[in-house]
Amino acid sequence: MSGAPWWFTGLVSLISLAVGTLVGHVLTSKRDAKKVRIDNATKWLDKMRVDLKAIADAASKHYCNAPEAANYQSSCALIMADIKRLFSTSRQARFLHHADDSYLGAAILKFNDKVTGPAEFQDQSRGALAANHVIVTELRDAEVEVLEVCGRKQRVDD
Amino acid sequence: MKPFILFNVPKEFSRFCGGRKKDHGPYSGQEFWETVTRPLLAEFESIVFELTGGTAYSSGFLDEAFGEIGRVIGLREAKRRIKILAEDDALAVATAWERIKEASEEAHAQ
Repeated sequence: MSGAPWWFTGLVSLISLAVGTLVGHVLTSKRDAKKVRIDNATKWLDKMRVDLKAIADAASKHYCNAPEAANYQSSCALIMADIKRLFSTSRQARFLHHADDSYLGAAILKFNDKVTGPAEFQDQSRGALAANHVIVTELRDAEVEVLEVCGRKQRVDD
Repeated sequence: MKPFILFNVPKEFSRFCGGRKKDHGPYSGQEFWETVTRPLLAEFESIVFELTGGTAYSSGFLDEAFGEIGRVIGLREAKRRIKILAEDDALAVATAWERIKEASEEAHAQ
């Protein structure tokens, strides 16, 4: 009977098996890595939503309540520190379109400006502002803008 | 004009900067502009403002403290002469430069 020697057939089978295993391993690794990136993107978006809402709620409350000497400065400091953290968190995102990175940065700068920019922010002599006061409505609008950019498509492929 | 100064805001002004106007308490942006930024601009060619180590800076403070730089010397000159550093607060640096840019644009539009 003619044909390849038995050891050659065995070697070819072994190589085929090794290549198959290697390809399978690479594909699985790629799928796992993509899943991790999708999970991270989802977690990032959830965190941004929660943190942003907490800051906007705290800021609205800060403006709509009459300033109390005891905790006014700490209320200001907490809001500023939280926005600073939000900005740091925002930089962890990898958007599909690079321009969205700068749109998000600009949206958070605007949000920060609407929250901590008004003279009333650290003015303890002011009274409580109405819930529909322009400062409150503008900071809520800025919150929506940040949320909109956060929801844009993130890069999850290599 | 002297060549250079590094001004450490937390050490030489306050770690706990205040609000926009002097009426709203100590260490306001207005106070910073009047007692620090404006005199330094007149005296030094190149100024580095080091914000690292301060607690958070409000947009109102940064607007009053640095925004006027844009109106007085313009954005291009500000970029040449001024550096604002904050290792722990990229938001403050971005906000300060945004205010300088806006003030410069407003001044040139008039």
